[in-house]
Amino acid sequence: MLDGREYRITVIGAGPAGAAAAISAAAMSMEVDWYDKENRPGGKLNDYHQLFPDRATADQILADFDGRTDAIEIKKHFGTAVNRIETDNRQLILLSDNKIVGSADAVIVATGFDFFDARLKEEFGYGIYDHVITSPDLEKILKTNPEDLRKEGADPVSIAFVHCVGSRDQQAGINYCSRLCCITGIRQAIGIKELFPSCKVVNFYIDIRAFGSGYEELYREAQEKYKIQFIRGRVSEASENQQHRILLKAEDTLMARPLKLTVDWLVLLVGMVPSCTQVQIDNHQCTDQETGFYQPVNVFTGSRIAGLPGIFMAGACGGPMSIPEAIASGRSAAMEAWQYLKDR
Amino acid sequence: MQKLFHPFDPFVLLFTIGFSFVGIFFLYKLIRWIERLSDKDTELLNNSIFTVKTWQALKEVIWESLLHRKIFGINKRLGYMHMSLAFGWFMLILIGNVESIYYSGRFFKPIYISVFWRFFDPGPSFPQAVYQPGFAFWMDFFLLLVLSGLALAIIKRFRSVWLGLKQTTRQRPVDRLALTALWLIFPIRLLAESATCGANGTGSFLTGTLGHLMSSALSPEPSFLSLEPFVLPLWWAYSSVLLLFFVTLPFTRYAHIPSEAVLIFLRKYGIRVSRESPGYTDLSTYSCSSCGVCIDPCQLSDALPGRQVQSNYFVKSIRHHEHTDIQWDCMQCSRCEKVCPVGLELMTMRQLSRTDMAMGSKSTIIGHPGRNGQAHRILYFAGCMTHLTPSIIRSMSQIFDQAGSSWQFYDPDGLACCGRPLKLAGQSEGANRIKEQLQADFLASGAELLVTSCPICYRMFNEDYILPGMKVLHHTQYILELIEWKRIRVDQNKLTAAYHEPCELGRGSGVISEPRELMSKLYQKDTTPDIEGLCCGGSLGAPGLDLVTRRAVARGALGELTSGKPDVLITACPLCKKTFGPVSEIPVMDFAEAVARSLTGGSVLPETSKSLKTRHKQQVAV
Repeated sequence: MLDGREYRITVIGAGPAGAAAAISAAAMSMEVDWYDKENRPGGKLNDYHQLFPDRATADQILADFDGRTDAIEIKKHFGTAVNRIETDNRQLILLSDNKIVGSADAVIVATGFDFFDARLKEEFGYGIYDHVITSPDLEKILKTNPEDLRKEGADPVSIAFVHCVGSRDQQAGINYCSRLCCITGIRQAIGIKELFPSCKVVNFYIDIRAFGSGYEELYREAQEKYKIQFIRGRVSEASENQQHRILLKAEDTLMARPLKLTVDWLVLLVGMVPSCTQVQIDNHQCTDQETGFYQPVNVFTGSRIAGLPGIFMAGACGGPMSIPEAIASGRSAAMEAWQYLKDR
Repeated sequence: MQKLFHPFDPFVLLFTIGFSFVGIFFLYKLIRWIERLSDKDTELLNNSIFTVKTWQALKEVIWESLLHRKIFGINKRLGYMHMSLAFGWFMLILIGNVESIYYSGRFFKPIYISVFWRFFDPGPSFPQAVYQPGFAFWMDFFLLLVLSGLALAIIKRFRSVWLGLKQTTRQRPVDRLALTALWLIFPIRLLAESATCGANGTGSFLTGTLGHLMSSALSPEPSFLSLEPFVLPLWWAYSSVLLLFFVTLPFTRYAHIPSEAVLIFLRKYGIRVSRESPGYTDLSTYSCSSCGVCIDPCQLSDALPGRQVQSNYFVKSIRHHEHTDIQWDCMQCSRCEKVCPVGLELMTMRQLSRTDMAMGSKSTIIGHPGRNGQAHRILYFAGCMTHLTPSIIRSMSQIFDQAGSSWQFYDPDGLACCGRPLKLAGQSEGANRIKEQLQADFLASGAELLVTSCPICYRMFNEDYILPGMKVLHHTQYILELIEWKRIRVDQNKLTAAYHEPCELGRGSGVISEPRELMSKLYQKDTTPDIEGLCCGGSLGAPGLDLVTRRAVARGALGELTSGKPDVLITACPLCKKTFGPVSEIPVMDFAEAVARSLTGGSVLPETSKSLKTRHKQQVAV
């Protein structure tokens, strides 16, 4: 029987990983303090429309979390951004803007990620042309008002997706693969096709990494059922013509020829980068020098943050991760924290 | 007296062999250099040789080859080192020669006689009044000058910073051999002369004093033991090191001593490095003294530590016909060319070497877009790089419209190349074809003014295109004109800004004052550091340079450019903007954007990415 009654644990972050960690820790009878910088739980899930591969709505997952966290004893401190942890003997002191907000025996950091700032790839014109948007922008539009995609009442004629924007891109200083943009692009492309069946949808990719369960099937369905076109090659630049349509220049690397394409919307599938609200722990350099994500003590066996006793990581603060993976990682961090507290 | 007219000792043979070798070698080289000039350059030479240019060249030889004025400008101690060795040695030869003529009464005689004059005539056969305060003194004076330079050269080997160089050239074995010989020549000469003087009771403050000391150290009692037995071996030693130095000289950096003088003459006659005159290029490689002044300004010295890619290594590699890739390891920023004391055309030499390598390879040429519509006064050429920074294009069109200019966008859909990227990659034939196409198209447009946002295109248009009746301006020049003619009005804001001068615009094209003037019109405080313009690292001149190195160059440059803690970094090149953008903690803007923001009353600064700032904080923390 897992009994953590005498342990006080803090979870920072209320996205999927944080929620799973908090629920699991509370289920082990630990005393849980749950923080998030926003006033409500859910993190980025709040802005998502559908999830892959089964295209469940994000709201369904959110509702599930809400039900479970309400049914169990968790102290919620939303609207408080814990941005510093100081170790004091075996106590961990939590600070928000240099004010002490609490203390704990163990902390699970689940601060998530940020989307790559597409303005850094200026050649795509994000922030310059109105009809260049990012994948999270499109997600919000699809969730709130897909009618915004129409132009003066007419259905969009063509939409292009560019994969790997701020992912596997040495020029942008991001060498790692964000893994999930591929499937996001596939799912969003299907979403567009469902809304506007006559719209031509093109995806420019380097190679498709459909690694998760059901991803490959969705990729095939996108091509066969929805007739979405996939072109291997990078878009080199985008410009705007006088009709405010976006002119793309790209290379089809399979056909080995340059091509030009005019589209109504250009969607940039942005990669995942470390969150700007990462928690500073003492004066430790606990993030990876190259990527900026937190590093575990052991990538196979331990989710404890390297070099720090009592502090664990969960979810995408340790690198790009899907929602099921983030949930599993939140649970395992809670389990590891319990074991650590029991053994110490 | 008879002895003086036919002085000889077998040791002089060593020197004579070495000297003859150098003489014959460079005579042969000189013939080859001249022979391998193009017809045009030969004509230049023939037409200029009996003009005032020869005198001007002679003056320059004295200033640069002997006195090393340019190196004094870089560092006084380093200048003194080079000057004392070159000028001091020259004066020793000159005065030694005059002395030997004076006392022997013969003008034409074997060279060794004047070189070893002190041996043949240790005590002056003529009045003391001329010898002591005259020849003896000045010979000692200049020997001391050379020795002081030698002392600095030795310090430079071990503590180069004291002479203003962070890094010095790494020498090849044969260079080290010659260096050792050179270092030995003067101390041995001092000993040989001192021994001779000591044995004969002659010499001035240096050789006389040292000779006296040596003599009294050997024999406290007069005429007990003499210096005499040491004299001849020391002169043998002196002659041997001269031989060693002379036989190695043609194969080492010291080949620059005779070559540089020839180079100065030919350059004064108007000859430049070109494919058609391989003789002049070869002469240029021989003229590099490998002084190492080019190493510190090269940003790759920091970004590629330990790699020998700087110009002195490059020149050496082509001089020795080595097959390396060194010509590609260069960003063509021309910082080295700017400081080269010999004034070598280092960029053109790299360029030619690249063209040699790329010979025969075919480049795909993207067709020029062609224009449509009626003629306008101004043709705006964005160029491929500006198409990667659409906000510059947008800003420029706002500026043109606001000023009420009659303008046409030459390449709204991109796909227009000026040809310079190909040229930089050594594909001069492809570059030329593009040039021909665009040139004809520009001229057919009927425009009077060609404005471009890209310094790379600007340089190409200015250097390679022939556009009669058409003025070419970089947009910074054009914007400044608009402001001066009151066609547009910009407001100065309270921000602190620093200007990054693009290589192709500043050093490359000489557009230096206009951007700085714009800075003062836009920003209240200018914290541009007072340094030679840096390369951003994005250079098209280095097609093979990896991104990690480029980023290191960009970081290094940003560190210097933002040392005055500016709010914003202003540049005048889309490529610089693209390169600095992802690594800079402060916003990076082009002049066009800054001006357009002022015209449209928008916020003076673009916002920077929050996540980017965190990444920087982490990197700083490491």
